[in-house]
Amino acid sequence: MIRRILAFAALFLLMFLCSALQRSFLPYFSVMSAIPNLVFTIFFLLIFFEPKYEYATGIFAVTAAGFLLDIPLSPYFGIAMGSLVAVYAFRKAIIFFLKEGTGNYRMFHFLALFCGGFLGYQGLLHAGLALVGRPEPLGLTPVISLLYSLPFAVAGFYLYNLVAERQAQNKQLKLF
Amino acid sequence: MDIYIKKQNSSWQKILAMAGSLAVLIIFLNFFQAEVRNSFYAASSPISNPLIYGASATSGFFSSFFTFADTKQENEALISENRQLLSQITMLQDSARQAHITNLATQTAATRSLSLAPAQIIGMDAARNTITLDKGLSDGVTENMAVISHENVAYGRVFAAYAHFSEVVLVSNASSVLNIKIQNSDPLAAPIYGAVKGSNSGAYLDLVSSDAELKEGDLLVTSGLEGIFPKDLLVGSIIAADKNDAKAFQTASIRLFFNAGNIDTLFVVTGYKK
Repeated sequence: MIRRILAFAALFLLMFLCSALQRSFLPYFSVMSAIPNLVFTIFFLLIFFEPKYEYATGIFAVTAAGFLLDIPLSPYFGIAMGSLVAVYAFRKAIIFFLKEGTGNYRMFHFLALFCGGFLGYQGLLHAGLALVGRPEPLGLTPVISLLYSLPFAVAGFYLYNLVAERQAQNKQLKLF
Repeated sequence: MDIYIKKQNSSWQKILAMAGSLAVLIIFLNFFQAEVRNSFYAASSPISNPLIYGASATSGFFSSFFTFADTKQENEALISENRQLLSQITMLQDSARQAHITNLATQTAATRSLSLAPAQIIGMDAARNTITLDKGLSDGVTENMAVISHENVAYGRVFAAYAHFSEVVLVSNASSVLNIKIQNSDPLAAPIYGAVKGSNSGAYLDLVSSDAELKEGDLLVTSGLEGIFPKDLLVGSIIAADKNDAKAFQTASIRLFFNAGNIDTLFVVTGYKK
């Protein structure tokens, strides 16, 4: 329990740093006003690797990432958080109703879901902002932001797999 | 069977409990959103400042490789423009001497109504064209105050002010509409008014009467009509006019003078009286 709380605290700190990067560092390297969405990338990695019948990590990811993504979005909190809830629900539905991709093709499964989730999040975000009277023009920015985020998502995917494999090996050694 | 039904019900109960908790959290955050945002910016500004400093230095190094080819062309255009301006200065010097005494009195009165609060940029949203400044309500910054640079270039206006931070919507933001007048080379001609509207990727000039003559290079300055921006602040220059006889107004593509990526200190106009 304590280990899980410490892990969540570390993950929130990581997301907080990524949020600071998104607001202070990455805008200077924007491509057609688009920057990689590192906070969403971390959120999606967490919900992608969450086991089927667990919800704690997903709820934490939705709350933490939603809060950090809602901060620059005036005037109300909840728009980004609500969009992330929808992405999380979609991911859980995929796990329950479809066969999960495993083995060599898991990367493609991850990429497809990441692209769908990212664009779905952007669409819901635009709809939410329009609903509260802050409509934004829909251009190519979400697509460019997705392409810019993909290298970070792929790197995160392999890093997560590496860490998970090492943890599994450590657990096996302890049996002897 | 009963166990299966109980397990299903408990799953639904868990989902409902989580949804309820999330809803309570969102309501709480919205109720205290000014305090929450202020605390967040206070916590992140020690990280943001060195990141912005590092980013502006790094991006300048890399951008020099991409802009090298355009630098020579831009240099030649600037030399030519400089010569034209020098000849205009010579012509204007005589009339400037005569108007100097009259202008001094009016400038002093105008200056008294402007008080400027310097502020550092601590965050930027490139997609939404907003920036965050490290001055807020406690520094006398309130909503709808103009934000300018030391060169009197209009950057935007404050749309949300917290205790120690404020958020600024830039002139290029899609929701920004700025009343301007067009400065042309004939000082005796009647001023031409229009509006600069943001488009997120830049801005364009609109609502200019169809019989007005717009030329490439015409300077756009604030008119002061909407009461937010003091007049005669630099906004941009015209690139190309788009005149259509079928429309009541003509539009033009413009080049904005502000560059949020190359500046870290701006000024909030705190004491402007129209």
